[in-house]
Amino acid sequence: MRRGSFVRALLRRPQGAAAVAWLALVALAAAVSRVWTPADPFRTDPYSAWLPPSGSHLFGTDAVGRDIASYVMAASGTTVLVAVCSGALALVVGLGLAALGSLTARAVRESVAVLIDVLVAFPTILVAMALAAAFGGSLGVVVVASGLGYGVTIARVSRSEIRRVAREDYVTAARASGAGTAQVLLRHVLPNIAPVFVVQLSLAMATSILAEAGLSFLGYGASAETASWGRLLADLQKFLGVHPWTIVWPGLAITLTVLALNLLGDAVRDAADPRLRPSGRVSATGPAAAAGPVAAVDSAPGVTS
Amino acid sequence: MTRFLLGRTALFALGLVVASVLIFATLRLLPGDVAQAIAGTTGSPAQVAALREQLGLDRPVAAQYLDWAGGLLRLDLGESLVTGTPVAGEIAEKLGVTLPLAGLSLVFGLLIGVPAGVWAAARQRRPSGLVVGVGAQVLAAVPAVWLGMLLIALFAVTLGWLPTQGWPLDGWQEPGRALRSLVLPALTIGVIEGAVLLRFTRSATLSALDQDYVRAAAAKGTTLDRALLSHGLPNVALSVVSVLGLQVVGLVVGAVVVEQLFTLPGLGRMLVTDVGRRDLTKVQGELMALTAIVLFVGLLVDVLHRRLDPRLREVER
Amino acid sequence: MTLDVDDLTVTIGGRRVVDGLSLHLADGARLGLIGESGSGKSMTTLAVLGLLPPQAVVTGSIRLDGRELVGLSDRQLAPLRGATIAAVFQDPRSALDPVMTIGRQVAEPLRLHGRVSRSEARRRAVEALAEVGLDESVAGSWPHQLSGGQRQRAVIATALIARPAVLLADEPTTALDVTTQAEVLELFRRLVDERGASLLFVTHDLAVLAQVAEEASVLSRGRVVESGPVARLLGSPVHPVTRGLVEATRATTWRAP
Repeated sequence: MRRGSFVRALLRRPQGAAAVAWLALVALAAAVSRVWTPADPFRTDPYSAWLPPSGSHLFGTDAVGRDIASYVMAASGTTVLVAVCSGALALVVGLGLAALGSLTARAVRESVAVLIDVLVAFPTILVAMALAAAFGGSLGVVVVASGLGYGVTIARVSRSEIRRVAREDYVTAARASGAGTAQVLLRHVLPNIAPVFVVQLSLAMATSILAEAGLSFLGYGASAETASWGRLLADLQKFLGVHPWTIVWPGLAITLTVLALNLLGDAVRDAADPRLRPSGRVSATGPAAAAGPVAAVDSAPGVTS
Repeated sequence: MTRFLLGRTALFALGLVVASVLIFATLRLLPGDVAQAIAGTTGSPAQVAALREQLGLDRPVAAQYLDWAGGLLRLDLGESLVTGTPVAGEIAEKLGVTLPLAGLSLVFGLLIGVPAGVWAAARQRRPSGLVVGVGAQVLAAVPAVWLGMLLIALFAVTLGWLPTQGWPLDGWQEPGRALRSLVLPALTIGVIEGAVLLRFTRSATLSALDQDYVRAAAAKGTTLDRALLSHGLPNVALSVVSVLGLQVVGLVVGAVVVEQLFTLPGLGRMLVTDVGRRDLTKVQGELMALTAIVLFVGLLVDVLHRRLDPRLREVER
Repeated sequence: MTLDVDDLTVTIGGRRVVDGLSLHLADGARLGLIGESGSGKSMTTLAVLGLLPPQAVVTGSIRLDGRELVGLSDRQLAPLRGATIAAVFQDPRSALDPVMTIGRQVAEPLRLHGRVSRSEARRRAVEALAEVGLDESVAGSWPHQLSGGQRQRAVIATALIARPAVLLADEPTTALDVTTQAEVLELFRRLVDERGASLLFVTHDLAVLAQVAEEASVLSRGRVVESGPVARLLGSPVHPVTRGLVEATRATTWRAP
């Protein structure tokens, strides 16, 4: 499947295009915020507290007079950083565990399989709390917890994907015509499981953003000197009784970004499935088809898969 | 069935062991001297020494772990490093808030997600079905914290129907007030879990619709909608049960954050506080308790699923 | 009861899966509908029952004893299904609900139509199973516990239990092995004859059709290309599609020892 046609298929669907557009915007805002924001995100001005949205303050100001728009923009950098690092860690952990679970001796493989099934049940937030108790809260804790947490899910998905593809006829055919293991892996297995990993990567990133929001809110994520959407929610929470609707800005930012990543995952999965591309939709009910929502709840538990 | 039960229980026990090892190991990973780190800059050398003895830090790590694990088996989780009160008792007390919260959240989630998911699948091609599907996707992307705040802003601040936060002083002695305090928190978690359940139920129902038996059932003398209800639903319900175990994970995650937002005196909130205070003994116990609950519910759900699905049951013929 | 289809067209997603099809099933007759996969045969039976996918567009006429069926709502068609027109679908594995006992599924048409008590329905279900050669114990079994042939017999029992006047059979033996195929076909012939029902038998295999039907229409790309007595179609086929089907039959017979 050629890369060009894949990208075109991805962008042709409205969800795919919208998701890519929003994510590009966030990435752009994150990059630009390193050098410029409309105002200093951390500059406090008690006399300008709680100003409504205006020309000079696009989203208004908060309790200590900070420009919310600038803060949200600066915080996008934190989000991108956390998402990318968590995603990368999750992939590394996931593939590593999967490799251990597929390419080694039988005893090791079985133990890893059981271990993965056990670890999948552990909620990421508890891992984060444990790490925070040991090392104190930080963005690093968020990244490690998210990466490990989702990494195990990726390990599980990878193992089942590798097993599925290994059984396919074209692999046997390739082997029969003399291809070595490495060649089979590179030329046949990898291209077929690659879309699944892209989907999982975007889900891992989405999960990590939600984790960062929650953990920063609890005080164990971003520190006070780092702009974070979750921290902003925590700051605004104290004034919910008098200024209830300022929370819209950081919340919307988080929701739209997570949604975009989820939609991107869906779009990648649909674009990669050759059955779906020619005419309309076909109900795709394969193992990857259920992988949608952030919590990766749909990947069926070990007993039933 | 017995063989499955034994195997599954063994898996559960293994999960508990792995959890206990991981929790213990992580908390002992504190950089530097554990006792010093906990006592902070205010502790005198005598206090630090006392702390070290209390934590048993002079003994080999394996022995320390076995001490703690042994205590777990007796349901003795030690005493708080800060207040000295027994941990197990405090956890049991806080569970009186967290368990009802989780239960109510699950109920909300099921009530919102499952019927809507079936309906969205039945109305798949019509605009109403698409709207529900999109709505669920958006809701699944919403952070629980924000949703909670929005619900507070709407129902508590603007409309004044429910309390913004807190828990009645007498707890369950005043069941009416206690329940009212749980509604918004449970709704926060429930709506998000419901959105996830909706998407899953929808795809399970679409799958059932694809199968011939719904159409075959309609061919026997009823409408497609009714056939879906009497034949598709039991099959869909079975699929939903199979993922309920993972849903519980979401409930725990939600509870920690939501209890903090709504200042509910539950296990999650206590965990957050104790992590800040570096009360290692308590944190160990709390993490273990929460993990054990998650693993146990997973076990229950798997057994239930096995019992309900005739294809998995071993029938004597 | 007679079934008349006039100029039936079914369009799905812009494609005409059935294109101006007409056929006449006389009272008590056995008519075959034969064609390759994709020729629109299954769609025709679904159209008669009103069970096409929701995005399908139907034009033309389908008349049951003169009563027009096209345009009727699901609710209006429901009373006819099972009791007047019944169907046997191709794959017995997926046509049976995996979480319901056989007995309950066989009894379902009775429960849906009449004011039949549960015990009475159970009794008649056991009777119906006996008629297709299945033991009473099957009533309490689950679909996954039966073999393919047994499942298909159960499905036939379900189709006939409410004494329908018209029976639509869509590739009922395709998913079965050859020996079971012969048995099930014999069952079909016998039961349909005994009850005087009209049978529309859909298949892609002319050899199978020859054992059940007297007349047949050949379908290609949604339209009838040739029709007539089965003996004549076998002996002197005119249309290339028909000839192709006959060739396929000869090839299979040739290979048989």
